[in-house]
Amino acid sequence: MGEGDADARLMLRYAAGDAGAFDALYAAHRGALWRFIRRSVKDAAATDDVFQECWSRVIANRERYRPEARFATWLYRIAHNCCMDHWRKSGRRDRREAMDDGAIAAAADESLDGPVEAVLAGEASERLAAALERLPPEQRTAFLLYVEGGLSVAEIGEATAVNPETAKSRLRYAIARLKQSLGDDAPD
Amino acid sequence: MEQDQEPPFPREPWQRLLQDRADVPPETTDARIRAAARKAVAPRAARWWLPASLAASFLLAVLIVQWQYGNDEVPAVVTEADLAPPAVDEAPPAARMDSAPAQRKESPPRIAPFERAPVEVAPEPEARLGGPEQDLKAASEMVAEETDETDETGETDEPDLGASLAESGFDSREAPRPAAAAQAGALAKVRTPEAWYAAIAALRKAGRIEEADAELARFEAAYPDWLKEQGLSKP
Repeated sequence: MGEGDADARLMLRYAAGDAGAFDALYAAHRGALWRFIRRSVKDAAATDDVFQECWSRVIANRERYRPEARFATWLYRIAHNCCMDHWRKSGRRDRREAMDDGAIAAAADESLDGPVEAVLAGEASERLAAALERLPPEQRTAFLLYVEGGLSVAEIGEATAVNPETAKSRLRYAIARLKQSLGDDAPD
Repeated sequence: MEQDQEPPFPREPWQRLLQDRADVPPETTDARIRAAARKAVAPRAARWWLPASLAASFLLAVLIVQWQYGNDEVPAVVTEADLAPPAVDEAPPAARMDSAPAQRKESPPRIAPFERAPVEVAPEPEARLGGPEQDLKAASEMVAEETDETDETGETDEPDLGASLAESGFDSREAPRPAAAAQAGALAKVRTPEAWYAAIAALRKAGRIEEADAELARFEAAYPDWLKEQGLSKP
């Protein structure tokens, strides 16, 4: 177990029957996971369903959990799969999901033609949220897993079933596009 | 890994921007997920007492039903007659049947507590003389004496018979009137009509008219047609 040993121990305790351990685990990850799912599915009503489905799978698979990786990696892999299932069911999966990194870069360039005035009118966080919604799903997922989930590049690759180089590439494109969207308000 | 050692960009500033929105799940969702988590790891020991409690409830229901239907004195249905104070058992049976026919059909007649005969202290033997038991005893002795005397002399000694009745304490006036018929039947069982007829005649001859009349009434109750059949007049 790595740095997430505390979470992994909580999960093991919960699997052993300690309901209080789950409460601690849930309190630590509920906000970030909620935001990750909300920005992934882009649907407030679906966010709640996917969020509950994600935790239901955590509960159902508690005895299968092995602390071979960080708990966050395991949790966000489940969350990513839940989002994928939601996209399949709703048929709203963006076609750009299947694009390679080159195509993703081209799509990111196209998105720069969006209404800059609208982006600049809101607060930085609002503009960031709007920019996130315009990101291709792979880049958005990589960015959210990195920022909200606290996963490393390798863990992002593990959670999304891609190699670390691909995960890193998606992450670079995502950050470049978000910086362009936020302009001077973008963090360094 | 190399990628982990050299992160592409710092997380914290972006996290601050994202978390400023205070976007959190609703409380109902939190409660639902926590409840599901607790339910999933609830002690399984609780699973055995649920069927056990169901079995106990079923057993209790069976016992109650058995007790209800197994006890004949307790009616299955409580009627107004059960709630009313118990009536004195002086009303004719027909009237009581009309008051609660359903109950009377299903349950046997009950004996109210106050209807039970009071516990009596056994009196001295002398105190019971004159009662039905003593009448039977006296009649038996009288019949035996008459039989002996008839065998010996061929005729009855009526004054002696009356004396024997007097000695035995037989007093028809003390006999309870409602039990006259039963008493007469009992006397008829222990002596022949001829002997009884002779005894009544002896009483009348001795001047004990009232006693003779009472005995005659009993005699006629026991043998209503005997005098006519024999062609005899009332003694």
